[in-house]
Amino acid sequence: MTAQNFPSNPTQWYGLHLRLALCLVAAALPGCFDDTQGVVQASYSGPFGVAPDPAQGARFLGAVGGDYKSSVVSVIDLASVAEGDVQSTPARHSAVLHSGSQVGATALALSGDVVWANADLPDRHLLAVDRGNAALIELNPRTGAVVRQVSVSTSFYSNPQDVVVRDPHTWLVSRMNRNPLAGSQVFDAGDDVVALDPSSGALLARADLSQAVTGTEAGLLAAPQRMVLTDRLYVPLAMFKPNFKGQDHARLAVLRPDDLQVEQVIGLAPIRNCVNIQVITPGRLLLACQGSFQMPTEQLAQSALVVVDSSSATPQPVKWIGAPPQGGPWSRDVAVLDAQWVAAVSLGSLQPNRPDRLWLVSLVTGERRPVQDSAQPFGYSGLWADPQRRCVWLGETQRKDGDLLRFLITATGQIAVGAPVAANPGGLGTLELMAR
Amino acid sequence: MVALSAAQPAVASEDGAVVLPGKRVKGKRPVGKGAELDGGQAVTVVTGQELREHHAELAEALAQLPGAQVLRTGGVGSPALLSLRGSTVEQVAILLGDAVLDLADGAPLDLSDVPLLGVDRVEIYRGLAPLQVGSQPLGGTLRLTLRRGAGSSAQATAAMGSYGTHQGEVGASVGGEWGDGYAGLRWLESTGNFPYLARGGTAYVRSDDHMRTRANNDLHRLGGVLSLQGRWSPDSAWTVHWLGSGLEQGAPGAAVFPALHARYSQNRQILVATASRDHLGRLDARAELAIHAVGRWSEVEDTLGEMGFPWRATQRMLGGGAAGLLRVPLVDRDDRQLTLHGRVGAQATQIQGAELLSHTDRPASLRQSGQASLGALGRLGAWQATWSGGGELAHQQVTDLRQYASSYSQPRQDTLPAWHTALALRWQPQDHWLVDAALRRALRLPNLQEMFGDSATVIGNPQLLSETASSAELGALGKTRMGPIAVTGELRGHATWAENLIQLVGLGPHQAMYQNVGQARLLGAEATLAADWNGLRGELRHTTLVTRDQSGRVGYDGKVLPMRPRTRWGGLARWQTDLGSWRSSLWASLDWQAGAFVDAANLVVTPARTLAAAGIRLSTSQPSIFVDLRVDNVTNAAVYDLIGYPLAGRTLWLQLGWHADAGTP
Repeated sequence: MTAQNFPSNPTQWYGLHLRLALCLVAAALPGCFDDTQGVVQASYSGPFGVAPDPAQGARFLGAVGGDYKSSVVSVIDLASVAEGDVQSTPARHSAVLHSGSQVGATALALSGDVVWANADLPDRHLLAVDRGNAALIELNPRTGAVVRQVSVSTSFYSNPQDVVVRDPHTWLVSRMNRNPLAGSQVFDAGDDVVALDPSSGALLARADLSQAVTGTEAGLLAAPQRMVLTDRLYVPLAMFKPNFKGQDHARLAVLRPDDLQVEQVIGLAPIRNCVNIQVITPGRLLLACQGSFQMPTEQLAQSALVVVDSSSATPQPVKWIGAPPQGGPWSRDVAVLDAQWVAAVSLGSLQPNRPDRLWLVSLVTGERRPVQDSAQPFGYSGLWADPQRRCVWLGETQRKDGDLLRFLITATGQIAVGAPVAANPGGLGTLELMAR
Repeated sequence: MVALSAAQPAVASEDGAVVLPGKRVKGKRPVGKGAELDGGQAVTVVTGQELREHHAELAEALAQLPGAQVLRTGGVGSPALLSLRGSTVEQVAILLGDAVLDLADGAPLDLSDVPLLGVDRVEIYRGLAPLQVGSQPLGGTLRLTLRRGAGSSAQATAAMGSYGTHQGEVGASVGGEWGDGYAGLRWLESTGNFPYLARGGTAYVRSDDHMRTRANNDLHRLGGVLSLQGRWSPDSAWTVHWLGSGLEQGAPGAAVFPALHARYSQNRQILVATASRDHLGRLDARAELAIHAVGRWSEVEDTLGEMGFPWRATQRMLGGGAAGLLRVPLVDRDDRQLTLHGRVGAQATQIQGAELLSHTDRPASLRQSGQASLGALGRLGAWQATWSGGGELAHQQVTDLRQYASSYSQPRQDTLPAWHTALALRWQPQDHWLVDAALRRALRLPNLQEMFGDSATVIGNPQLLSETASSAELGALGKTRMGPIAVTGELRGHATWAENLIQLVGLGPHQAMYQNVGQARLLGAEATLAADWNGLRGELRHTTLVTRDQSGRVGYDGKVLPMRPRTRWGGLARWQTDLGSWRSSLWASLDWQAGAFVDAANLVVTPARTLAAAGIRLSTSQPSIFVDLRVDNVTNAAVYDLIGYPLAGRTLWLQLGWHADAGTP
């Protein structure tokens, strides 16, 4: 979650409380129940496109909670969750790892800036990217034990963003920051994708993305974000100015995973700030682009969900689905339901007061159907779709009855709201979700 | 309680009354050391002589006081900020002499700016503020009084310590028919290159841990004080005080990724002028006028972007104000007194910043504020009552919107009204003990930094409301003699309910915004016990602070407020004796502090710590020279106030001093 706002003064908090109180009163009256608390009218056909089978689905849902000062990792065990079950309370292992798990004078065990890597590790292990400490932490979700911790700092604040597994002996890591004092060790320049031997922590190779982005303003950071590895490595580039006060149009870099050679850099103008990428189907990718927060009046027009055809030798963007004007720019949170539909979150704002909103978006028609609003602006963070159980999980910070919302996609395409789950009762709300 | 004379020192007579020039104020002297201002209760006074004899820095001296906490990020000379009774540093009011400084730019007083040689006394008012302050700050009040001229004399000290630390101070007094004055200069430099255990960002990997030297942690300070005072007539007096400080230092950043080239510099100049007149009219009133001006310039330079991204930002601040105080003794008898205090003040402060790399001028923001307060102090027999109440009005605005493009801070012109009141009672049936109690409503207006101070990572919030707090306290002081041993003690308890606390709320990994989100409860106790016997002195100090976040926010509600240790104990033993023509003072101290949470979510703990120090001072009176040798952090414990900012280990400090007195003209 980036550039989040919360109500800036108690008047707004009181306003929220008043709204909540009115909702409670309305809920007691027949016919006044908020429809987002029951079956949502929005519907679509062909939910998830797979035959539900919880046994084949993810077993563990990792939730990173935080407030950008501290972070906490909790694990939800989905073993007992059947298809369509959004009411039972799954087993939970709260705060298995957090910023204070190890006491240290010079660094937190987990910094306040932690995300999940899009890495498919053996034994359903989860991989956390501790961006603040420039370290990767492999976690056994069964025990909560830290299996491995590897630094990718090369002695500077390299700000890693994501990790994908090329093979058991090689992880590919995107690092967003540039080292102003590079040269003291190999592969320490930053703004790159590096190949890492996780067992030794040694860096094996590096793709310099700054050099790969030609024809742009001098000094721009390529700023690689989340990645997807298929037959090639796809890396969205956020294209920041060195002082982070502005952004150029977004790019998508295509690399050969074996030698990290940049094959192609695809321009995505006028879209900016693409920060997430997912596989829709083999040969089709989805980019979530927020637009530039440094250009607030133009951000909405710069934000889009972009479908990229990666089936050919020269991948191309084939469809843009703009941000909903009545919502806001797309957040980084998108979850692919099937070949046609994705769930996505639009960002709210404080001025004017506008909540975040969960949408169902058709990648075929571009239709955007609202599902549910957050209780307060910038409340939603973390989204995961579980095709095998036909449900969508959504994190909502500052929610007292549970920070993980669940939505059931029925066989007829209806959407029902389930009982929320508290990943870390009484603790920091969820910002990131990842399932394995 | 004694009245304050700005012109000449008060003298305590044998009967306990205090004799002021042209005025004799009768009353019982408070148990222990008395404060100079009216109406405060939980007061600790540290004289300049005590500071110079027993401490290397003002910050180190204040950190030992009950109810006080000093936050630091480095070694000797590094910036040090004062918190009282669990307050934030912004919730402490600062007085230089008799002038309340309006630090509306949000840059609190750095205790390391104060040269010890130029200090006459420091008064710490925990909780209830004196009537002269004209407000009720949430945490308390720090009053700094500069050294007065006393005849013709000169002093000089030279010191050196661990981690490349050197300091020199000089001062001189002159006196004449015009009045007297003192001027002093202090220079300090330190490389700050102490060792620490670097663990990188990998707390779970020990193989990459190694000892490292704190780099780019050097600092250079140059500062001075000037104190002039005189009389126009037997009833009227004037003073001029100047406190100037310049700091240039490395900005080493968090130890996990230290910055090797980033720099920070600040220059702050404070000028205060006061005029007073006694015996005004038939009411025999006293009037004071205090004018202050504050200028500050600071620059942060990280052109390489070692701490995230390249930036170089400057901020200029210029402020000033005037306050008038009228003190009217309506009743002045031996057995009863009633004095009214009225205070009216007005201030204006402007700050403006610029980002030099992108040539972006940030908007200037301006605050004009005023306050009026009324207070009464009455004494009847053993009882003393104090009441005060008043209001503040602040108008702030952004004055230059040309480059203002923040998507978050919508500028607004607004007026913030706020009010405060306090009621205090003191019962002193005998000279050697008393009991007091107080109720008050305190406040703090958001400063310009919090409202408009957009920076690289922090966003101002013009919608902020004033912080307020309701508090109650109860205290007792006593002194007694047990044979040859003189014992003094103080015990206090306090409770505070604070609302609308202004906190930085994270909006993203590198962005935070000031918001009124906090409600909190703070309960505390402070105790001091001291005994003196034949040159031997022992002190025992205790502070308890129990805090709870009551904001109702998920993840924070019910948690302990960060960086507020629940318990602190301190002890001091000092033995003074004469060795021929030399006088020696041997001392040792021990301070224990409970572990504390660093974060509001109560996930990260700084462990409990014990700091031991010891030293010896040898001095002669003719000629007046002294030698100090002290060792701080004797056990070389690894300590820190903030995660990522290790503090120095064992530190040696050797100081030589010289004093020459040419006599009083």
